[in-house]
Amino acid sequence: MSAADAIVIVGTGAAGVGAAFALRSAGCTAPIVLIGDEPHPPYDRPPLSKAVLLGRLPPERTQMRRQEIYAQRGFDLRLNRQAVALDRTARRVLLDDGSAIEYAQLVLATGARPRRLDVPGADLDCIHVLRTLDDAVSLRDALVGSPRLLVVGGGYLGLEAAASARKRGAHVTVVECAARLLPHVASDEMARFVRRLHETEGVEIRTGATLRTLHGTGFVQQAELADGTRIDVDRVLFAVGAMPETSLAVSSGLAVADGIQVDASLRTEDPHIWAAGDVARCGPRRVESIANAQHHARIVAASILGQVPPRAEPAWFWTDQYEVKLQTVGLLREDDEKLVRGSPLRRSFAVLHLRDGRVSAIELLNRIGDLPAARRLVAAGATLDEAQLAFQHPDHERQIA
Amino acid sequence: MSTHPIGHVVSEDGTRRSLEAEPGQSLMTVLREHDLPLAAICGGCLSCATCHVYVDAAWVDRLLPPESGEIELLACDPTYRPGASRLSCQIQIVDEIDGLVVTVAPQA
Ligand SMILES: Cc1cc2nc3c(=O)[nH]c(=O)nc-3n(C[C@H](O)[C@H](O)[C@H](O)COP(=O)(O)OP(=O)(O)OC[C@H]3O[C@@H](n4cnc5c(N)ncnc54)[C@H](O)[C@@H]3O)c2cc1C
Ligand code: FES
Repeated sequence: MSAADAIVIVGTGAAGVGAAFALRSAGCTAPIVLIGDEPHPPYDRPPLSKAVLLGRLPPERTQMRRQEIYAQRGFDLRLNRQAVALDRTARRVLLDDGSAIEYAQLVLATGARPRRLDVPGADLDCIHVLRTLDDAVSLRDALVGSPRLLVVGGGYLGLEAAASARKRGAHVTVVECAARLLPHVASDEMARFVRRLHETEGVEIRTGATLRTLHGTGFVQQAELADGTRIDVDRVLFAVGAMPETSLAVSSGLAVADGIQVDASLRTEDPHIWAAGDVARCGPRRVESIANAQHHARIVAASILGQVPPRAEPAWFWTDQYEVKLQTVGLLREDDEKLVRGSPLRRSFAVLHLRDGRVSAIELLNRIGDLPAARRLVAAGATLDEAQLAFQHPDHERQIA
Repeated sequence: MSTHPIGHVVSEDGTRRSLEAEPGQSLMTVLREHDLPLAAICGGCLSCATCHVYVDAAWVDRLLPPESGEIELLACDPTYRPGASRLSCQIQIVDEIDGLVVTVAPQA
C-alpha cells in the first residue's frame, strides 16, 4: 500500500486518537498517521482541572494508552510535530520539520486553544491558562504556599480550577463579567447553587465584574476591575473560553465559522477532509466536550469507511467541584421552561428543561444514578409526564441490590 | 518502580490476558493502557460508568468496598450484576490485589 492511501489525523486529543482506534476497530487496514504538537503521549484532559490540580493524580497517569499500543495498532504516532499547512491539490500535509505526508483522507482534530484576555498587563509573569498537561502541572506547582489566585471566568473550567485551588489552600477570587456564573451552560437554578457552594467553601465570587488591567513589575501583583476595585493577587488564571484551532482550515480556504464547518458525516466541503471534536462545527453550535469528541471519532471513522454512522446522542457534560458532581444532558436554552426536582439544600436535585412540552435537557446535581434515565428521556424527547415518573421521588430511593 | 502482574483480564471473547500494572494506578488506566475495550469516557472522574468490569467471585471481598456513588452509577446500567460489578477507575492497584481476575463488561 502506498503512502497516498494513508489516513492522516492531525491532533492527538480525544477526537483524533478516538478516530484512529475507531477506524481500526471497524476493520480499516490503511496506514494511519497521528500528528500531535504536544510533547506528551495522548492523555485525558478532564482530570487536569480536577485530580491533577489537586495533586491527587500524577500527570503521567492521565495517559490514554501505553505508548507501545500505538505501534501495535499500526499507528504512526508523531509527537512534538506540528502540521503547518495543507496542500489540498496535492493532498499533502506539511509539517514543521519541513517534511510532508500524503493523505487519502485527512482528519482535522486540532481541538481548541485557550483564550487570553487582551488587557494591559496580560503578558506579566504568573499568569496561567489551563488546557494542556504542562499548563496543569505549572498551575498545580504554583498553588503551594496558599497563594492569592484570581480566576478570570466563571465557566466550568474556571470554577473547577477555583475549587481545586481552594482545596489546596489558595485564597481564590473568581470574576465573571456576566451577571451570573456559568452563563449559557447552566440554568439559573444550578448557577445559584454553584455560587453558594463556592462561597461556603470560602471562594469570593464577583459577577458582573470585568477585568480591566493587571498591574505588577515583572510578575502580576494586582488586578483592577472596570469599577475601579483593586485585588491583590499572586497568580491569575485566564479561564475565558477556548478558540477552535482552525488555522490549517483557514489557510487552505476551507469554510470556517466558529469551527470548521462540516456536514452530519463530519465532512468539510473538500471530500477528502474531515473535522472532529472541539474544532468541528456540525449543526447550529460547536460543542466542547469529551462525549462529543468521542462521538465524533466514531462518526468520522464510519463516514470515512462508508459505514453507517452511530446514532446521534444527546450532548453530555459533567463537572466535579468539591464533593459535588454535576451532569448536564442535552443543550440548554435560556427560554426553556424549568422544573426543579429534589432538594438543592440537601445537595441532591435535578433541573428538568422543557421545550414545547418535551424534555430537552436535564441537569443533575449529585444524582449520578439518574444519568442513564436522563439520557434516555432527553434522547427520546420525553413528555413531562414520563419525566415526572422517572423523577418522582424527591430524594430518589433507588433500589440498590 | 516495580510493576505488578494484576493477574488476568478476561475479554469479551473469553480470552485471558495477564497484565502488568504499577501500584498507585487505577485498574481502569491499566485496562485502557493495554487497549482493552473500555471507553472510560470521563477519565476516572466517577461520572460515566463506561469503565465497568465484573470482578471474579473469589476476589470480590478482597477489594475495598465501593463508595455509594459508584453503586448508584452502576445500578442503572442494564449490564449491572450486583456483587460482581465495579467501576475499574475506582479500584486502585496495590500489592494485595496481585492476581486479581476481572472481566470487561459489555459496553452499553
Ligand atoms: C482542563 C480541562 C477540563 C475539562 N473537563 C471536561 C469535563 O469534565 N468533561 C468534558 O466533557 N469535557 C471536559 N473538557 C473538554 C474536553 O477536554 C475537550 O472537549 C476535548 O479534549 C476535545 O478533544 P479534541 O480531541 O477535539 O481536542 P483537544 O483535546 O484539544 O486535542 C487537540 C490536539 O491537537 C493538537 N494540535 C492542534 N493543532 C495542531 C497542529 N497544527 N498540528 C499538530 N497538533 C495540533 C493540540 O495541541 C491538541 O493536543 C475539559 C477541558 C479542559 C482543558
Ligand atoms: S472512567 Fe468514568 S466512571 Fe470510571
